[in-house]
Amino acid sequence: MSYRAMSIRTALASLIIGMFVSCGTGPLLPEEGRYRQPENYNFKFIGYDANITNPENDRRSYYRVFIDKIEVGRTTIGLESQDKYFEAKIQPNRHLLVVEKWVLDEKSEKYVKLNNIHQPRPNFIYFGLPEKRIVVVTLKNDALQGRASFEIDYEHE
Amino acid sequence: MKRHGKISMSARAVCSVSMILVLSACLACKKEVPVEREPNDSFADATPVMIESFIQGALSTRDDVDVYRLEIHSQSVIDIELAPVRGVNHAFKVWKGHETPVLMKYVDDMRKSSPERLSNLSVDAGVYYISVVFGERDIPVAVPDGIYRLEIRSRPWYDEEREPNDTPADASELLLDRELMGFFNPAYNRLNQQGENQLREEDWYRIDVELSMERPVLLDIDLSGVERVNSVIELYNSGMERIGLADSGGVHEGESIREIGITASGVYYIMVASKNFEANHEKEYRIKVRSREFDAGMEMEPNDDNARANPITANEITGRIFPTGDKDVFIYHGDGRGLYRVEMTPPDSLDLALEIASSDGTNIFEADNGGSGFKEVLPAVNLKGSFYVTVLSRKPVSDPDKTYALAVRQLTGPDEYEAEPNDRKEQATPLKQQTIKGFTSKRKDRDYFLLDYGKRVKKNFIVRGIPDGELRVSITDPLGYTIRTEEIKGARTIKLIEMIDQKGFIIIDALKENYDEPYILQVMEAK
Repeated sequence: MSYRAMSIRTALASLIIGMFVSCGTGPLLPEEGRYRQPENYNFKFIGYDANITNPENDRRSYYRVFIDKIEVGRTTIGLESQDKYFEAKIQPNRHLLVVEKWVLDEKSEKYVKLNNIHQPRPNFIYFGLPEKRIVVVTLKNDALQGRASFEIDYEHE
Repeated sequence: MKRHGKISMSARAVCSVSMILVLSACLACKKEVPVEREPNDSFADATPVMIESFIQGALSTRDDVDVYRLEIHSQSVIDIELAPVRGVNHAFKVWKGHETPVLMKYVDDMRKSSPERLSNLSVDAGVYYISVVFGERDIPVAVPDGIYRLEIRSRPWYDEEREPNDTPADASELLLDRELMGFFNPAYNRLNQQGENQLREEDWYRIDVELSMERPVLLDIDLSGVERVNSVIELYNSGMERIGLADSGGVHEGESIREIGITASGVYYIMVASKNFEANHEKEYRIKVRSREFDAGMEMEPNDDNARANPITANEITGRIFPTGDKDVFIYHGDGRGLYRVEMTPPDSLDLALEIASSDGTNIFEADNGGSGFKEVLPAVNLKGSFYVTVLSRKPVSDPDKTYALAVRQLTGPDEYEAEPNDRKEQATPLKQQTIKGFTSKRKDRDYFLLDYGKRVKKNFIVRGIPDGELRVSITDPLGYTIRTEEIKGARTIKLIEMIDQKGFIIIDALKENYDEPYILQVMEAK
């Protein structure tokens, strides 16, 4: 292949790649400035139940939060269908999150731990917590299916 | 006063005469026995009788009356006994005076075939009449051979009631610290036809109390027990307002009134009676009234209600729960709002309770946590101005001798303590400072403390328990529903870390009480 032909092919390839890249929706890696920077907390847990169809079954509840097998607090209190939050500042690392669901027993006027068979399943997740990020772990518990799912994200600005 | 007119002659005098003839005939062959002389149906025709003698007679017709005349030469006490007649309900009346005899006593036990007796009629020199009649309860029936025996004895008067003393106007004089004797007899006073206690035979006494320098005194009254009799004593002031009552003893038992406060000189009256209408002609009762100087550290009866509450002037006062049913009310004149420790130590013999009422009389606290001899304590009660403290027993018990001690002490630094009542979340003591002390003020006491931070915070709760006690510590959500609970045994210290969603409560429940020692609650920021 002549030098000229090589030059033309390289220019075309660069053009095609340049066009390809310029048509994308965003960068492939997170960019600085798009995510909220940690101040008072760098970990956030949100828990809620989905598919509660009868308000009678929508109890006041909260989650006790264990990180690396140590109880670090509890979420706010709200109806099972509502988002309940817990925030903490922990060391950047890979961590184990376990939650425990408690609901109000109005008869005894106290919150009681749900029986194991009614706890979210699974009730744990491993997650990585990088520097300069707030990790948000969201637990969605499907009340009908009896299945829980976790989502991990970084908190946005 | 009932006066006697001429007693009418019976239309059946012939029958009477024949009965007397029969009676005389029967007695003629024996030793000579004094008998009535019919007709003796009126004072004018009265048959004379002598002291230390007896006479026989018969109620020969349905309307027969036998009158006897008795002359007394000196002051004495006479004992009149009318022997029983089978099937006959008879009675007798005693009259005083010659010209216009006045009815003194009407003795009728309202039973057939039973004797009538008045064992201690106090008499002066003069003329008296005794009329024997049929009792009012049964239809008069003259029975064949229905002979009665009327016997009259006498003894000199010596330190005893002056019967008849059936009304305050006729009250016998009773001297302080001097014992007097009396009798529960007769069983009924047929002349007592008014008031709540009709027919009750009452013995009234008067005491003249002269206060030195108008300093109050306390009176103690003791009445001995008499077989078969269930007695009662009442004490009245000169306005005839009842200021003392003793009715705790049963049959055969005596009665006592203790620590009646006398704050004014004057005449006071004591009434003694048999509650069960039982008489005892043989065995006397003894009554004695003692007086002693009033000490501000001792209760002064009557103080059974708020209107008559005794003031607590020296932080401590003693009293007695006597007789049964007694309760003692005291008033403490506080200044503004304050925190008080109220403590009552009963004698070993009594199970006493403590109540506290506000100045308008509303009961706000009580302590009744233990049995006999158990010290009742309200360790930190929040009170405003004057308040009443009542000591009482909820059981039918009393102790005439042993005293209880009541102490009221104002605590310094009221903010260091919980503010009772805080048994409900609406009454929760706000936690304004880092440390607060609380008490198990009563059995199963519950104390609420309010946490209010206006934001979600994480707190460190440190609770020190009470020696020999047990507590349950709970932390709640803003609505008061328990999130976390921990128990403490003894004086151990526990730590709890919990999130507070702006507002919450700490609840301390007493599982095993210690009324003396406080628990300590500390709330600090958690990392």
